Amino acid sequence: MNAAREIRMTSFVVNGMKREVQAPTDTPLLYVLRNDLELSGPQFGCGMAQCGACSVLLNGKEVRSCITTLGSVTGKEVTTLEGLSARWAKQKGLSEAEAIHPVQAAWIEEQTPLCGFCQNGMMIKATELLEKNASPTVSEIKEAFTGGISPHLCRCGSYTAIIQAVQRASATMSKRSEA
Amino acid sequence: MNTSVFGAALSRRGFVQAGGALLAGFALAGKRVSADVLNPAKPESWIEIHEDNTILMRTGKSDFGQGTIFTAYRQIVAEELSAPFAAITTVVSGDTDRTPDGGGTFDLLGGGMPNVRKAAAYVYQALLDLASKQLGVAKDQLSVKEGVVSGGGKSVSYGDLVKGQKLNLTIPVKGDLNSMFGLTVDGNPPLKPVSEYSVIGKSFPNSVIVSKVTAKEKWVTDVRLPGMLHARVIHPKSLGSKLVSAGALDKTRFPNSQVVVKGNLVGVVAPTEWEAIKAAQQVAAGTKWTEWKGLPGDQRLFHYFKEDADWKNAPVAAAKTNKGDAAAAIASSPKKMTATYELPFLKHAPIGPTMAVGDVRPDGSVYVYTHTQNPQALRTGIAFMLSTSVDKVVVRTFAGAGHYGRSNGGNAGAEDEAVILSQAVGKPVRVQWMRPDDLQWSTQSSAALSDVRLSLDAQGSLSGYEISHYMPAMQDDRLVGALLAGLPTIPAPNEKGSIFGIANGMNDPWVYDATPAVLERAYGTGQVGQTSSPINVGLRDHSMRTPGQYQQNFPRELAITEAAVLGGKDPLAFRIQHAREKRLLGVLEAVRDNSGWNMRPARGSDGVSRGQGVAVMFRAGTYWACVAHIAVEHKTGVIKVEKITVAVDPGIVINPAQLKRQVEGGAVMGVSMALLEELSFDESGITASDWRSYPILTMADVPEIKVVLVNNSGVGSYGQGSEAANALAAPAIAGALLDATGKVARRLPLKPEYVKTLLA
Repeated sequence: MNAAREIRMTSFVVNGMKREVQAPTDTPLLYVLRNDLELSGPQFGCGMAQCGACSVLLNGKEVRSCITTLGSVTGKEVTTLEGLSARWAKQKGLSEAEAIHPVQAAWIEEQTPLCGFCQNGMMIKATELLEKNASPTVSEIKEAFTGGISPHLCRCGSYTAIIQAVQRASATMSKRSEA
Repeated sequence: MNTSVFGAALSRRGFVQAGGALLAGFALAGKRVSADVLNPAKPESWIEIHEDNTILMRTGKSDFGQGTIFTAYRQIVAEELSAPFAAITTVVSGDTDRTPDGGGTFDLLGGGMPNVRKAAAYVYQALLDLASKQLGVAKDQLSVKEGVVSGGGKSVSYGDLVKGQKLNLTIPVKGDLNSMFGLTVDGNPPLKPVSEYSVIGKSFPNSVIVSKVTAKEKWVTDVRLPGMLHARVIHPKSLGSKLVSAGALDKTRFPNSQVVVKGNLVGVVAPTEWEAIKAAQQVAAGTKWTEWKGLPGDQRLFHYFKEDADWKNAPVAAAKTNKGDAAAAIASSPKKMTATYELPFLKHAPIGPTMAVGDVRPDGSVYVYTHTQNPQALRTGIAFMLSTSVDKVVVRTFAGAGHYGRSNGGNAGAEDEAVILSQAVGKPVRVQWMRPDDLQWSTQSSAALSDVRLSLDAQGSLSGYEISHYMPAMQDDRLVGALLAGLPTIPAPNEKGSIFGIANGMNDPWVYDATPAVLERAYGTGQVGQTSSPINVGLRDHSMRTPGQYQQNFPRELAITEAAVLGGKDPLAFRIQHAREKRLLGVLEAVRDNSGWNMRPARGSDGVSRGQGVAVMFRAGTYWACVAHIAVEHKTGVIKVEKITVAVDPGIVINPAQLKRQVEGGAVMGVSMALLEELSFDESGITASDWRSYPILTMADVPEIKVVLVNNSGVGSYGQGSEAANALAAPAIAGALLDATGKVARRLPLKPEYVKTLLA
């Protein structure tokens, strides 16, 4: 089979914008996001869905873009780290310019990242969790970050800081929804 | 104008309409500085004072997740200059063509005297000289606050002092820019008294976190050059295999790919990343290698250390603190203990496998884009590999996945391969290692073995202590791609001309001063399998976090706990009894009072036992103590670390919030190393290939972590070594296991199967 013949145009939505990519449909979404669309949020960590560095939201659900094929996202909505603030603005009817996603704000306030390479996936996971459960307990946070296809791994050991940041984001988000 | 400022030379190169500045550059002792060293178009200066009152600083170090260069370094410079922290608007780091000093990203606080501190101190004196002239007030009558110099009822800002002028300050330095250690600022400029500190000690946020969290940071993974190709390298079948033949590329499936073979290096290059990956898989399947079985395998490693390895070829290191006649003391004491401790090979295991972009240009210049702790040393290694001048090579550093010491001698892994492939295809090439490449072809933290003999007197006090440490060489900075390609590299640790050689050092300072007789020695040997490997590779080792010290601290600290138990004493009180240094006593008391240490802990029932353990360390001017509280389930052997308490006295705490986060992270990595981490390998090579075969701690098992910062400004300086936090957990956890069960685990990691065997 000629590689050239597998190439097709795939159309999907990334951070609210319709995008069309001409690439083999078996290409992992991660390489499309990074190399074709030049997004820097999702990172290559393992290529085997074992670490979570490459996570994105696909129709609101956290997936590993390293094993998600381009063909499988046709017509779907992808949100990357770059799109979190706009996603929050849309959900809350805020103007995009003033908005920063509470998860990102909390990650800054708590000074969560050390090297930061895994934190894309951590923030994506936190967003997915808080959209479903605005006030998770510590054990629910631990379950969210370690259940699923694999645990989200941090080699620098920032887990404590992540838990504190999720709690801070949760406090902001529940305050906002009461208002 | 040309003035001497405590050995630095201040000169005015001219007056300018706009953009006046004071630029602080460097001069090597005895060498004339070329006029353009401080040309702003060719910026090589340490610190620039601009007329808008902003300050730029440069450092050859790079950030590896500590944030030190964006927080502590800025605080140190702002403090010495008596300028606001916020005035330092730009920190330029790591790039070989844009930063002055080189050296590695280790020992960042330089024993309390990092380059940036002295450079700032010189600049401060130069600014005072300028102010003295401008205000007509004697230097000793001037005071500075927030970047404004006042005296004689007049005042002037730093910006106004440099306005309209082009001023150069030449700072004396020594050393070799292109060596592993880089340049060191020379001389003794007056330093700001610690009692006047106002910037140091505050929790300024790390500026780079904002760009990383909001996806604005340019990571090394984002480097894209025009015409850049993607590559994957097909590494040999074993750590001693030679290439027989490279597989043929299926051009019908991969029409745009090409295979590059140089010696034993096989690369596949393609315009897109996915094609490079798939084509490399296809070529790999058809590539043939010679067989090699020259490693002992993980199951026989310690047998190999005890029976086969040659420990007689390297000079034996003896601790400077050795005293008395330990052998005689032990022989004449009523209670004795003999024990052997074993630590496995570990991986640095960055979350992102190493990657780099190499660009060998037609004019012979070479650009390398990477995430390295030591850009100048890498630059030197790349130039040596290509047999070209170091002036031809530029290394640019970007944010990347932390790798904890792996590249402190320059090479993170993929850089040389990217350069070799770029040279072969005549285009920029991006080499990304896959997860198995990163586990199997990077360096590891050395395994180690230690023999202890100790004795107690009639009162249960330590009367004699003897330890012999055995560890293979741990600093192999050879470029592995160059080795495979048959290109020149620096010598291996066992080869002539090696900087570090194969000798082991005494890396863990003795701290129990009350002990009458102590004998500590360290033995070294070559790297496992290296000399028998036909490609001279074998198990390459490299420093990681607390190199050599972790390997020596675990046996010592666990042995001290065992000694306490042998004499029926509380392990924490036993340590206090044998310590004399006030700062050590301080952290021991702090960790005792903050951890819930219980002098007589209740053992558990219903198949779960709970215990507490303690460990201490002195590293790089900083005293550490750690208490671990654990629960162990007898039926399964599973250890759950419930709480880690760390007390740290670095002298002056520069940035409490950042230090706390670093200590928390180190503690988590320490728990991971204690419970889970062990490199698996067979007779041919490393068998770990992913996060299942080299597991690390997950959030599910993160303990409660309590950090107690002891700000001890009376020390007058700042120590460092936040990485020590990750060495402390293992001996504290093993001590807690002993406390909980009465059984001692002298080998790491404490996996359930091993613990179950101990408890049976």
